[in-house]
Amino acid sequence: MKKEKTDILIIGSGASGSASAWNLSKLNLKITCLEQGPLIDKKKYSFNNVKREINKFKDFNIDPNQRRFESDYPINNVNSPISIANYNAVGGSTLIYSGHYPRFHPSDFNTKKIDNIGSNWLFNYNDLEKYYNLNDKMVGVSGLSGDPAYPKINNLLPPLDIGYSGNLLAKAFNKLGWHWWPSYSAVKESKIFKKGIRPTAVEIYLNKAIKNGVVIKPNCRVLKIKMSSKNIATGAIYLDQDKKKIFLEASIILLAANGIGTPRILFNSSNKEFPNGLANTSGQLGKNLMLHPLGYVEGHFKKFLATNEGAEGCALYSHEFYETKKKRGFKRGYTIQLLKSSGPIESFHYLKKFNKINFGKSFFKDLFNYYGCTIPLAIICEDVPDKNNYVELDHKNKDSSGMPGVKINYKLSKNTKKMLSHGINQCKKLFKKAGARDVVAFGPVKNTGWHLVGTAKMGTSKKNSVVNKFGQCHDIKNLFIIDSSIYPSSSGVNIASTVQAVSLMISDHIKKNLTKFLNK
Amino acid sequence: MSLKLNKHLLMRNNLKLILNTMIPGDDYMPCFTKAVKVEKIIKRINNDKFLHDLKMKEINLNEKENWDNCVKILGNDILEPYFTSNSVIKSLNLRKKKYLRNVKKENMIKLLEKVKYKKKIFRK
Repeated sequence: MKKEKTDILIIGSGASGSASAWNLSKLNLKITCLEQGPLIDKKKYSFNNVKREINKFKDFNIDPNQRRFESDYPINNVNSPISIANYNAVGGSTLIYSGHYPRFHPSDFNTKKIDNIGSNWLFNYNDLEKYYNLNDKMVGVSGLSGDPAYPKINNLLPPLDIGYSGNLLAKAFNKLGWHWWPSYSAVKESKIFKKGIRPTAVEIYLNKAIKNGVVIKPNCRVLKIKMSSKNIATGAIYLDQDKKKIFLEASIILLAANGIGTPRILFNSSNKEFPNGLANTSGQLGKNLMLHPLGYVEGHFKKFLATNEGAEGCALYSHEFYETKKKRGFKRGYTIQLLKSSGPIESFHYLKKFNKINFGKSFFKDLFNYYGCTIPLAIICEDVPDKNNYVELDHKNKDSSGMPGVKINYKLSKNTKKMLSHGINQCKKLFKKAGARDVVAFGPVKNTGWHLVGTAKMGTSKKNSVVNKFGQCHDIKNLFIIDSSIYPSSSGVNIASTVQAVSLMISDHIKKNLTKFLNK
Repeated sequence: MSLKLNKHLLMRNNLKLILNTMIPGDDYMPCFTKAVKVEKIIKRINNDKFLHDLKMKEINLNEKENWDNCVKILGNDILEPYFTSNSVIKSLNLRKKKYLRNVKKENMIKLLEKVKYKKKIFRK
């Protein structure tokens, strides 16, 4: 087997891998980032409006089981009401994300202490604030200071227009006395990022990291992490783009393959010392999978409101029901997000599913009853950790290189079901106040498992957790997990902002203690 | 005119009729062939038998079986070229302008006045 050498190896080039790649790139070290997916031309993923919905059905389909690209690995969702969404390419799932950049609430880091549910983090909002601020600056996050749902957030770019639908709903929120606020969106003030097109990890971090000397290797799939007899990771075996096996020796390894991909690599790296998966003395690897069960409520209005335009992810949101209130009958809470409605093609397919549109004389009448006059709301529920929700290797379904796929075993908890139902009822109330002629609601929505959290959780000891507060594996001191696998709780907001802030924090810790790790 | 050319013209006219019956246009939106050239669709259709049948005779779209067959074969291929054509994008924009002419938006900051002073809702 051919051998190569690097100082720091980063596995995965998505939201977390890219942030650390950039942060560490300022060191005078050799840094290599292996990415199983290809490098995609920016023109292909910088889409908007009609092109956006066409791409959603084609090359940028969120479901890896439908895409079945060579870079994708099979994910068996049979035992889960929610299927996993991801994207394997340089930039990872940020190529398909919505660019919605809210932070976690301070309480999200202390759910056990505050609400006696889930687990506490080993750091808090204040510890992370500096990295949230840095990340906001790098991303170019737009929004408005003064949101009563958060501690003060400064230096945001001007907020995006909330549109006609946002205006209508804002008034309804006001009538009900509920919290709402214009969303935090990734916009990056630049001519190339036109309205509605959001920057990805490639533009935010990777291009800068490459300039600083980081080597990104696309189409290179890591099969196993190898270790020495002294419980030190020595490097990784990967398949290069010509399908040749290469051993890449590294002093420090950072795993950034998301809440599904990270346990997959660690399980596949089992050895005599760790027969149940690398760094898995605790038995917690793969367990406590948290998704964000999503409820969908759609209000239909008589008038045209151009609801298909506006922020890519979310125009405004409400945290009225984010924190625990005893009388609601469930712990923790959810976000209500005002989304952009679908364009003409997706609208047609949606209506067709319910037999509400046909080609012919009534084509436009049917289409325009829906297109542009339908306001969609998403309810993003906080999930709670449960050891019975777990991922495991699926030896029956293998990827293009013969590596086992992943099987998801996941059920909605009673707490989440109550939360979802509460959210749906509140959104119906909101639409009634806003004057909707009718409302359609359902949940959990199947293809919405894009926030993958908890499968290699942080904790104080190797008895109950996989990593410490800096993502460092308890079992293997030069192996770090920097993605959302390590989160002990899921929050009720999109995770991109926190994923990158945590990654920056961990890589800062590595920078400060570099000699200690390099000498291992 | 050669027989071959005649057949091609018949096929083209038949297809044009079908496409414009499927997407007939309205006050704002153009009918299908005003937005997309028929040739573009002929290239996209991966069904020789269907195209061959169109060369033989006019299709009676009032017959349910014929109509269903056309929708099945063409349904997935015509939406993308239609809605991405320049004339349709322009028409959708004109339509939008007309419908939003009388819809008023309130200033967002004014709307936020009620929320701004709401008691802090986050906990530590």
